[in-house]
Amino acid sequence: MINADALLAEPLTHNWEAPGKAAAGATDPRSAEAVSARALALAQRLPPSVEGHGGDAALFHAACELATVLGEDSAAIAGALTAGFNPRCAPPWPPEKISREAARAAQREGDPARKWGRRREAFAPASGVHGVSGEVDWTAPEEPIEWYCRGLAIAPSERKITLIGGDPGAGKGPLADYLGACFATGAPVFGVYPVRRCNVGLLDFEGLRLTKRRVRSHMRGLGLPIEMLQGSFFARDADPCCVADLGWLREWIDEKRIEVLIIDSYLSAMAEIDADPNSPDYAILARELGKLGIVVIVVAHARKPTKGSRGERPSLGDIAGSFALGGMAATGIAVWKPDEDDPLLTRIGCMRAPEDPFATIEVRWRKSGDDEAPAWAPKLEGEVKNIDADAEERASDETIARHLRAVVKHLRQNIAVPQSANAIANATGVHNRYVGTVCAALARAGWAHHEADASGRSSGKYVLDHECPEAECLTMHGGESVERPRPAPATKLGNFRRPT
Amino acid sequence: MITLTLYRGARSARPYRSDDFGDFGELADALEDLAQVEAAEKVDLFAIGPYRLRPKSTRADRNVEAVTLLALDVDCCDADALAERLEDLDVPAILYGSPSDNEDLTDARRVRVLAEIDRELSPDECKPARLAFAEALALEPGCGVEGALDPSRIFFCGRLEGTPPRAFMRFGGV
Repeated sequence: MINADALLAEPLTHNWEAPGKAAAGATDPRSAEAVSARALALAQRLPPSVEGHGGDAALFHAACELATVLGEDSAAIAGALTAGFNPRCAPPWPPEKISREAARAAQREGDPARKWGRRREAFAPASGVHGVSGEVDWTAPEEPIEWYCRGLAIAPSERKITLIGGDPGAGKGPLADYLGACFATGAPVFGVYPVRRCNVGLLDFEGLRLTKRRVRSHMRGLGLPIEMLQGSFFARDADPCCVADLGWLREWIDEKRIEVLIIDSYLSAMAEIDADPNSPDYAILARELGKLGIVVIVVAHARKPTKGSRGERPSLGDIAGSFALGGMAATGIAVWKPDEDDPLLTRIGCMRAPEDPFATIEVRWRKSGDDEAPAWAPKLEGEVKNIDADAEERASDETIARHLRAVVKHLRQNIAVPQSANAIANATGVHNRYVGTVCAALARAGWAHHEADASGRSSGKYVLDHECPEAECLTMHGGESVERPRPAPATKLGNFRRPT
Repeated sequence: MITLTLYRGARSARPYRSDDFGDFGELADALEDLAQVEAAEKVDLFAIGPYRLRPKSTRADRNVEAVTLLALDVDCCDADALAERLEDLDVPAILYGSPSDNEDLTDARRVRVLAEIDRELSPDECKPARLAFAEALALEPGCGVEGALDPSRIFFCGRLEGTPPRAFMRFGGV
């Protein structure tokens, strides 16, 4: 074996300074050359503008990003855009447009009051103490929840929002647009759930052209004339830079008497806010939107895009951003495609509700009309069926045992990947509540545990112990405990599954 | 006795388990199994820490009690030439393909080298020992070794779903 002392005694012959680390005599990173090089490298990495897909927003975003490196030097920003960003755009921008956007970005960079972290919104406190309301009068009549759509648990909140969350392509945007059309016209959602008719505002951060077409198709699907939306559905194309100052939003809401505001999407709206999606700061926009006091429906992406949609139901914890964003939801609506081969079938479930959660439903998007003027309408599959209630049957020991084997098998197949209860339920067909029962029993028996993050907090996902026997060897008693069979011979690092 | 600390995925700073191996051969057997475990994403793979942590501590340089193996993370190398050099040194060692290794890129292989040492290293000795070992293997700056010198560094072991089995070679009679 290697003699450690002899190894350490040998002097090194190479200079092993790690790449990127400044060695003696290297260029000062603060020099103009180094700054320009960094700006150019950044410009070459930024997502390019593509016509028809938020190109203007992408250009301004790039200019603002470069401004964080180059400061208020609009000429330098324009130069970096021209050299590193513009050639990749489709089509490339004319020089005057680049100069204009560079000047805007430079001006924005130079105005500290516009930087998000330094703003203090001036919402008037209800009492003399800033930020604290008057005391509750418990003898006053109870205020009922002001439902805008009881079927989907949508109601305004004084501090929170409504989240529609799901994987890319799950149908979040179409659902949000459809809800907007229903609120603006008073048409019941899915033809079943009554809504409170009101004025709707929509801020589209992902390109309004598709949204306009989609809303028109929904109106045709509802069998209603498009003219009904005039004066009741106010849709605007929005650039992420607009969220830096929401004073205009309050004025717009008041002017148009908007009671339901739709944001599509949160991720795009936050494009210019320098906040790590995994930090509580990522929820800062949601906090400000919650203060509007109206129904704010926010389309939010799931954190882990999956291949297709994998059929997994998202939870609030999966929504892009830290738990802080999920925590800002008074209502959470999960949208997912249970079958990747059936893209028109969507499941809509409740992640959170002000009171009772709504039952999971299945909706099929049906198209009529021609390609020039399609009419899309979501229809409930069968009756309004309570999918959760389908699992109301009282499970026998045999049923529990069957659930146990299915869960253990699934966990064993995914032994290196912690699994949420939802993921286990969707993969095995075992109802969520039995998944919880089985996993809790496995944990008590020492065969499974919760995954912990770096700070030791539980992520809520289950991990099967490597030494857990095969599913067929386990028995569960009374729905509470899992019998431990005789321990297998101890092996180092556990019994890893060899690939076949 | 050689201590190896195992982590489940990159996100967990708390060790999954820590094992003491009687000899390097026993450790190599366990790692050969581990190198074939599949995961959908790299961050979900198992990772090894060639060290012993203080009891009930998390992964951090300050918590490393002793470095128990020489470990190199080579991001760009000619694996055949590296294997030849290991043969010449004739020391107990293993070489295995990292999860992102591609055997078709003969001059840009991504491999890990683990070698047995006659005594445990202190955390301060980890960096110079790894660099000296890299030079003994005729590796040069730019091969990636310099990016994995911290004592609490973990090394992924396994393969992504759908990728071929990882290369695994033993040297020095292991």
